[in-house]
Amino acid sequence: MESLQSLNRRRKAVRSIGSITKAMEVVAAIKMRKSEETALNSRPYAFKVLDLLEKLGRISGLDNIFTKTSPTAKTLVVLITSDRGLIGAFNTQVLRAFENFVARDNGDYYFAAVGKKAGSHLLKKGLGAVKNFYGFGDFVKLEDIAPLSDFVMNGFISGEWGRVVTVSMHFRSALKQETLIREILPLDFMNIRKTILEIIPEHGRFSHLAAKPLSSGLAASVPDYIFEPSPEKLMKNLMPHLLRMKIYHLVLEANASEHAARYVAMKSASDNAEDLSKKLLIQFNNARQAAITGEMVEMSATQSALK
Amino acid sequence: MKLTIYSLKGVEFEGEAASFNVRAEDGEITVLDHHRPLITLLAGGARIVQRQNRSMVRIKREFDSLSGLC
Repeated sequence: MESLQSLNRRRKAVRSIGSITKAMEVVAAIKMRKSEETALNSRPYAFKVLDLLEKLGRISGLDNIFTKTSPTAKTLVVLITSDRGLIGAFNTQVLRAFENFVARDNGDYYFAAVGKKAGSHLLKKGLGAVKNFYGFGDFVKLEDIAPLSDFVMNGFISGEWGRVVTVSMHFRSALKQETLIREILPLDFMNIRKTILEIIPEHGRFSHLAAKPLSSGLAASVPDYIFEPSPEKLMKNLMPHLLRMKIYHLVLEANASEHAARYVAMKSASDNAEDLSKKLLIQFNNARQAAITGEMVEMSATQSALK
Repeated sequence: MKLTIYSLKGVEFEGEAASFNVRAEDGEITVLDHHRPLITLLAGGARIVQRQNRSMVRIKREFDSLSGLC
């Protein structure tokens, strides 16, 4: 049997790890709630943005640089993970989805990493990211992602890449997140429709939208819009803005998922620490009792020998 | 008309409005019932006239799209 001292030391270590994970769990829970709220609050806006993008795409004669397709051009894969670890299988899931995608969709790629974990993964695989973005913080603001969205758009405009795909985590609920592979550029209006359907949650707020088709079917007529000041000027302003919103929304969702995953991971870690601590206490008591019994046996044996 | 104002922080306004007055890039626009769908760039500031009272909404610089709901 293990010695009393070492059992005691292990028990103390487990207890202190337990209190650390408990503290991290509480912090993650607060962050989760806040980032979930931000992500969910931005959803109505995101719906409208995508709806508008989709409608605009169906207006003929409104060509813009973001819809042009060039099949020969390279693809930029934006891998969105977290900056920090201790979040269970969160990053592993995203990275696995990314690996599968790259293996399946054999093509010519550029890679961009969002989050330190994505950067180090790409480096380890020898894929080499064109650019790394990290330190977006726990609560991302629109200004924070400007470097990312500008980088993605400028590369597309200059023709460096002809397709942009993002691999990220989508927040479905606190307990359920799933990986999403989304083609954000060139703007394909079937894709946008798919995105709208994807971001509608299964239950809770906004879930009623799933029942009613957004802006109805493809056959539906597009409203006869008046563009002011001019369609060209408007599209020049509107398209980058809408795209920025799309990227921002992706990062927001990934952020909410990260906090939720961390909360769940920390909760199970503190539960495990508690269980382990209980088991160690029983072991410790058994060992202590065994030592006492041993000493008593020795004492009575000595006494009877002396008689 | 039914008016909804969306922002990244959520839905800023939702309800019935008699008119919606905004400063667009090219000048002030007032939208009344049955307006034709319109997409425009906003310069900032908007006034909603509800059936009962007036209310002001501050808009930084955004896009305004009026769908067929008006």
